[in-house]
Amino acid sequence: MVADSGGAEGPDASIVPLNLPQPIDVDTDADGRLIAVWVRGRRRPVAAVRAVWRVDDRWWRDTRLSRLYLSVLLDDGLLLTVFTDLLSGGWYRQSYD
Amino acid sequence: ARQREPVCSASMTFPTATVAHETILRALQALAAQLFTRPELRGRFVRYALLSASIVRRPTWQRRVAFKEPVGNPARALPAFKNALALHPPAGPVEDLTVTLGGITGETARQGSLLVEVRRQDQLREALRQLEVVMGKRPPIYQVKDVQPWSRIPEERRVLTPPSFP
Repeated sequence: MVADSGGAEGPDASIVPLNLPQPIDVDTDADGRLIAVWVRGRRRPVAAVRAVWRVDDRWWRDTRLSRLYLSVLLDDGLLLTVFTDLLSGGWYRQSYD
Repeated sequence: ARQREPVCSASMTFPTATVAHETILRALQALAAQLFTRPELRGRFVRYALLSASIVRRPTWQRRVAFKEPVGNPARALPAFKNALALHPPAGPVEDLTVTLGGITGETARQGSLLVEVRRQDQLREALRQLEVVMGKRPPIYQVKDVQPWSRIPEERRVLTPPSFP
């Protein structure tokens, strides 16, 4: 059992989605490559990009989805998974497991 | 239409209005004892009690006492009554007293299953019911449920839902 995380509720108020993408501020270079992320108000440079993969889904629906995921190692050793929404241009962090 | 929850009440009037906590507590215990001998409560357990008292020249005193776990006899209810009286004493002399017992459980005996998993589910279900009584609303407890664990979209894999029992 888990306590209420206070997450957004969908049409059925008794069901709470898990692991929703969380907006994150990032710094990119002139070529659009990720060079740093902002975590808890602090700028954390990216030491290495461990993996990159793309997810395209729901292409047959109005809610088309296109994301480029990156598993990045920050300079302090923290491992983070982020993605850029290829349709809106926004950046988000999200566990990918 | 919503069914009214069954409750059981008993009342008494003091010959002289009293402020003595000990007297009030003995009266509460006597009322509880009277209630637990009633046929509708025999062998059953209750989750909460409503205590109310008419106070001389003051508004009615009322306290809702939620038991930590369902009680089946007046002795088990007494510590909670004592606590309620100590923390929120009536504001003046008490003329009469009413005890209402509610949250009457369906079981006639607390018999555990031989199967560990069934017993665990029973205990969890019971704990959640009692928590609901204590909080006065559905507790914000959820369980993680796999929806599409194979999905490439992480937020589609799992959700939180209210606990459900087979």
